[in-house]
Amino acid sequence: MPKSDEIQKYLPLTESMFYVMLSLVDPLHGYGVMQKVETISRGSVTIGPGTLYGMFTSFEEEGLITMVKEEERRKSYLLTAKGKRVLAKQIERLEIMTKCAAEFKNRL
Amino acid sequence: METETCWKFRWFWAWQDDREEEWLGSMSRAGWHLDKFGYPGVYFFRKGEQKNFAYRLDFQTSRMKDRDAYLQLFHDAGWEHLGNMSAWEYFRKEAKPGEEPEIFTDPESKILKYQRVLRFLVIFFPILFILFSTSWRHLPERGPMGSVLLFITMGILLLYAAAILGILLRIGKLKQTIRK
Repeated sequence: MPKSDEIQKYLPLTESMFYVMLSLVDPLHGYGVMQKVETISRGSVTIGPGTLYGMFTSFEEEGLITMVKEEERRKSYLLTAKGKRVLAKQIERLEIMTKCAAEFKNRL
Repeated sequence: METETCWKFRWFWAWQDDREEEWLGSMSRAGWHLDKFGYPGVYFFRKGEQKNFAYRLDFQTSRMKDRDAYLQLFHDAGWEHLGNMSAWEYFRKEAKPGEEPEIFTDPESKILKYQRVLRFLVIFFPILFILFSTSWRHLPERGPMGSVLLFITMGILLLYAAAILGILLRIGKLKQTIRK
């Protein structure tokens, strides 16, 4: 079990990182991730292949994702337990932000 | 019928790769599409119908673990891989009107790209420095030839420093666009 510091150092995730990690709760290959990010973010975030390749490399090095399948030069990845903990912490932060947004939006 | 071809020589500096992308795009809009290249600064074009291609450059050294998976990812995303000029990888994609396709979609990954360029440049710096200091030390023995050699190495060293500075400035500007 990693210490909370080990999780904390990834936070806050960038918007792109957040959506890429979300899309890997189920195994998915690169192009699948790009399409899924576009769908779940309601078109607000697009991920280019250069950006995604870099994320796959660093996420895998950091043990946040793991390769689960390789088919015709397409690699599929899945979130690891550590990756899930990072994502859960990020979601906690976002929930606090959403509550604040609801509290303050009428005062703007 | 033989298609028209032409070639151009054009040098570009590592921190101005976006200008290179724009130039290749403007060539395609005039009907000249990048065909073959490989030697530093030499480009061959083939005449065709005018197209709105977006050209994008990535920088990848041999450190990259899996080139096949890398190229497959770009291919799946609709990017045509044209080849590479040293560590620069050239891609293009046809852009719909008003659309500007990008291979790097956030400032963080753009910064990483320039950091790869920087790492690459830094590796060669000691070699250049040794070259410079030896030509400096042997200056008196060599006479006029020695001075010429010294000036050449000095020029290369200065260009090198300029390249590193240019990239650092580029990274600095990108960092400013990240709002935390």
